[in-house]
Amino acid sequence: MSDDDRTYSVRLMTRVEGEGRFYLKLKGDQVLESHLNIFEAPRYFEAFLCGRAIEEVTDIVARICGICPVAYQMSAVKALESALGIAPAAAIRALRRLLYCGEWIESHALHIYLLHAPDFLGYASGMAMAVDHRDAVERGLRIKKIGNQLVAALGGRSIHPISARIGGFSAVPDMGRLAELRPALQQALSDAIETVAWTAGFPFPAFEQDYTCVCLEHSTYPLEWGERIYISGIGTVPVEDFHLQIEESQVAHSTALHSRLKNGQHYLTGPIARLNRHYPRLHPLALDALNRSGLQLPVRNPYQSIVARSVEVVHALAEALDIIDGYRQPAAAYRAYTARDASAAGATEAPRGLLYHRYRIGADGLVKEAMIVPPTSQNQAQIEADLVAVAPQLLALQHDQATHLCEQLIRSYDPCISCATHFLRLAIDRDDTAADAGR
Amino acid sequence: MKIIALGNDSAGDDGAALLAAKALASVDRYPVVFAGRPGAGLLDLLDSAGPVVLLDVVSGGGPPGRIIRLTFAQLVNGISPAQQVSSHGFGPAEVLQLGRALGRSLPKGCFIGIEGGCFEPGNTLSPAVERAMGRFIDTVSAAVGDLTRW
Repeated sequence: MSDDDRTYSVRLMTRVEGEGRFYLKLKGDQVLESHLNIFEAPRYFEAFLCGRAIEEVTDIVARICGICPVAYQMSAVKALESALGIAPAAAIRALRRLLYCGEWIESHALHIYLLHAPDFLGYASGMAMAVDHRDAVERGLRIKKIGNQLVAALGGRSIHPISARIGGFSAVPDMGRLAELRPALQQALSDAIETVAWTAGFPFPAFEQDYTCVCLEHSTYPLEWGERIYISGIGTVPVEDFHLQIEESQVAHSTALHSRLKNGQHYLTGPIARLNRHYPRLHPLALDALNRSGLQLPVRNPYQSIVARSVEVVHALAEALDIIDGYRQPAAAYRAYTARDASAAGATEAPRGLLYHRYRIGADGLVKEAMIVPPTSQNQAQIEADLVAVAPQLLALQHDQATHLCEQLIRSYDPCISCATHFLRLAIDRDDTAADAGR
Repeated sequence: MKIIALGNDSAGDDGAALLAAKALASVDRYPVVFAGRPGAGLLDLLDSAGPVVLLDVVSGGGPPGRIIRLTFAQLVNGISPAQQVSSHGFGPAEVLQLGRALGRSLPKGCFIGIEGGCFEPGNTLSPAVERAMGRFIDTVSAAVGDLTRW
């Protein structure tokens, strides 16, 4: 290897969901190779679903991720209900949105406080950070806890909830059950507003990209419902046709599929995409927190996703309180349906971005085909593009600083690699001794 | 006094602690919490006035079915803050360490783990873990007896 050859390699990424590694090889200021490697066993969920009863889908897809099971359930029921020609009652939709708020709250709080903030404050882990920032971490844990409680109250349990079903829920809570969460939600809302100011004050590396943003299109801040998908530079397309807009491809260095638009363009999905498109639709309290944060829109710096995520926590908490205040227990927990031959798609906004499901079902009540496009696999090509774009900055840094900058960038996406493929066992290693090291 | 069981009952031996807790719940008068994989949420579950027996499946390179019993102090001293892996790996040791960093006391009680051998999808235990389940349950019962005697 010549003196000009530099290889930045982190064999095992820490503080992301699942397993992955990134590899960036430079010669001078030229990027020779850039890979975000996902090397876990594929999970085959789409194949598992084929031949299973449509009633089993929500419980099966909830197992794809322990952090965002609700997202998988909500995209699944949206697609299956479209296929069945039914729509949930307004009160059921409100409860689903409330359930989803719980997931956003707990997932975002986990990422902000225990996974991402340590990067900005110079700590190796959330545990190490807690020693010096006890109040902040306690604040994050309070927020996360009420998110979990909300999911448990509606979903039956906080991890892999079980109550969502086609047509509604297997059971719905009474007003008392939800009202008892109110004080903790109110405290968390105050904590979340403080969080926006806290994260907005972090030192962000100078780095900007012009992103193609993709998110659900709706008259409210996108979450559990929407019939169209926004693609910046293109416009909106029906959810039904989204699979025709993207190309999923297998790459040698990853067991997760990569998604690009049909024109080959990589794109961004997640909090930044949502905020850039839909910030006027934020709850007034979240919009106020955003305005006071000084965050410039559109956000082009991926490191600032932590602020976008913080704003979304305020939004989710404020909406949760509003939904609870307006809640009237529905007479029926779910709507009946009759199975039929049909195909349909559904998309919702998982904490990490757009989650697209498509099913073909039969009159026998069985799944014939399933397609699941998770947000991390959609973001993966964008993450690699970011790594290439940040490469010139790395040349002026010490190797460990450069490696950290790349890790921090990847972590900005909150990559739920377990959703894209599978699960963990991590240690961290670095190798700069040979041109092909870490491959 | 409460028993908290961790694991995934759809991943082979990873369900062993949950199965042991289920067996104990049917004969014991102490509350059993089937916590699954609560991540940092375990911190709240461990926030208990009374003693806690925490059950989990471990993968420490020992023979499948091996049973280990540790004090919480032994467990928390076993890792370094720089070793945090992912939130999926935010296990009991990391949670106890986070609690210590936040100034919380270690709970009274102990950790009991059983070495797993196979973590493939499904709810079937490997033969070695299956054979050890009786001993695992007896160890937990003995620990509960020790902790309640005081």
